[in-house]
Amino acid sequence: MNHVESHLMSDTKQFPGTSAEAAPMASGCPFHAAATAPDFAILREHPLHPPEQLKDLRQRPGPTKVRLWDGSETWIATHYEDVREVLADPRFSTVTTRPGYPFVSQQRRDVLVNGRPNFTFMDPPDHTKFRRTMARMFTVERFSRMRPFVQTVVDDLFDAMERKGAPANFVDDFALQVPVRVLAQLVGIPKEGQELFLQAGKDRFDLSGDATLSHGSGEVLWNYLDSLLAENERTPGDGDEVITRLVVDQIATGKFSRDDAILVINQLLVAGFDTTASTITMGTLALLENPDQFAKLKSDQAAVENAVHEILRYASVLQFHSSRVAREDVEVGGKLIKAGEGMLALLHAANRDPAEFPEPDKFDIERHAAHHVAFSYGIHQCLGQSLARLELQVVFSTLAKRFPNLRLVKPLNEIEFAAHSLAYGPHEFQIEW
Amino acid sequence: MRIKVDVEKCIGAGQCVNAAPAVFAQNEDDGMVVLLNQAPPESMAAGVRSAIRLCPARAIVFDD
Ligand code: HEM
Ligand code: SF4
Repeated sequence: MNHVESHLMSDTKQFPGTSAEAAPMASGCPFHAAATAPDFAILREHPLHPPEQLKDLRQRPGPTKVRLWDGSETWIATHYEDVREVLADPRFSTVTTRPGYPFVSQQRRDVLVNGRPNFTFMDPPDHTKFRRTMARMFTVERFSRMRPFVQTVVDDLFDAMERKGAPANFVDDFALQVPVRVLAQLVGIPKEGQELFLQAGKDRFDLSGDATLSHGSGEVLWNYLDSLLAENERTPGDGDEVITRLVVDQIATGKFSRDDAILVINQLLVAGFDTTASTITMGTLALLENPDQFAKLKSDQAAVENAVHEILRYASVLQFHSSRVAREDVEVGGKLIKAGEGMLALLHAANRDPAEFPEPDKFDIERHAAHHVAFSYGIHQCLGQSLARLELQVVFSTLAKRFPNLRLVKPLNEIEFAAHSLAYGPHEFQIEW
Repeated sequence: MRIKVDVEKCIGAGQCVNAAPAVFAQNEDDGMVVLLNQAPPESMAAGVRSAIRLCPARAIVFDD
């Protein structure tokens, strides 16, 4: 783990959670009156489960308040129904310059306030323009045509792993490679650009990191995309890569500026790999820690579609992304959220709400979980979800078929996790088979 | 059962297409929902209900 002396660390438990002391709770802390909100827990006690604090706070009805790193207070929604209500309600905004918008760390604030624009942080109608333009390139039908390509990517990576022999680095040599190669193909990014978006994504997602790093690698990627687009505008292609479609259908027709096109490509690249890679690694760990579930997948390939819903629910890797601020007074779960108050719709908490998913901490690939909120909900629900599901289906069905004896080289409690990443997951672990 | 969709609300997430492919499709031009059957038979009711629950934009409703 990255032992950064960060404000995020204070008042929360150190992973792997040797301390028995719980994060201070409003009701239990002897020094604070019940009115004081508890510090928001980011660190997990157990790598496969969200912080215990969320379970405690979910005991109370409706959203509750927590204190953030800068001392400000925000609401958090931990109940499944509340999270869906918040995310579906247009009275909540994602615009980060609105007073009251809750930032989960200082790095996040600096990145979101000073960084390049991104349509996740726009409300309609600005958001609508980008989302509608992208939706036609992201249909279910289009991705079903991409399945053979994804299968080839996965097969090639597993072939290489077998040639080299065990043990293999699962994160760098497999889990990251799948989405990086798939995204490069989908968008039309040459090999030399792949390193750039890997770095930009990593820096941006490190909540405890230095925002100037994210700014630096973000600008390098932005400028690279600028020249790549300029080149494509001079000699437009005729394929169906995102970059070609943007140049031909949007820029050439005057609907998009070049900056608009850079914005969406940049966002796809940065949103699409760490999320997918972390879901691959967390799903693999969940299967290895639950051999009965892995056995079911090995014996029944048809189970993979449902297993992927459960893996997404259980992993919920994008834990703190869905931050909102109320534009006007809104009632959620019986609580009045006043205009200008922040709200974190906690996807990992919602996906472990026992009212929606009985025995939520049990990993059960046969459970009904398609309605999880790991891709969020409402108008910002993941644009790339059909692609992500496709990648995960191909990965897990192939993994079960080719590596039935898959094992961790070191036990789970010796693996280090990116506890402060926007996309939660292990830094690296080795596998053998 | 009768249903209707609000294309203005739709964001083209395609959840409905996955849940009930005989009832919903996505328009080639803009990825928005196309209702293939306004009165799906009882045999498709489970898929339609699931689509209504999954649609992130709440763009599908019963029409009665
Ligand atoms: C398992 C993998 C993935 C997970 C868990 C995931 C999760 C999410 C979540 C939770 C959001 C909503 C954020 C919010 O409400 O603030 C989101 C939005 C988004 N995702 Fe994904 N994502 C994944 C893969 C992908 C891929 C592969 C792509 C692109 C090819 C992608 C592109 C996007 C984009 C563009 C948005 C912004 C949508 C908008 O604001 O309208 N994601 N994703
Ligand atoms: S699920 Fe809803 S938002 Fe997605 S395509 Fe269907 S109608 Fe549109």
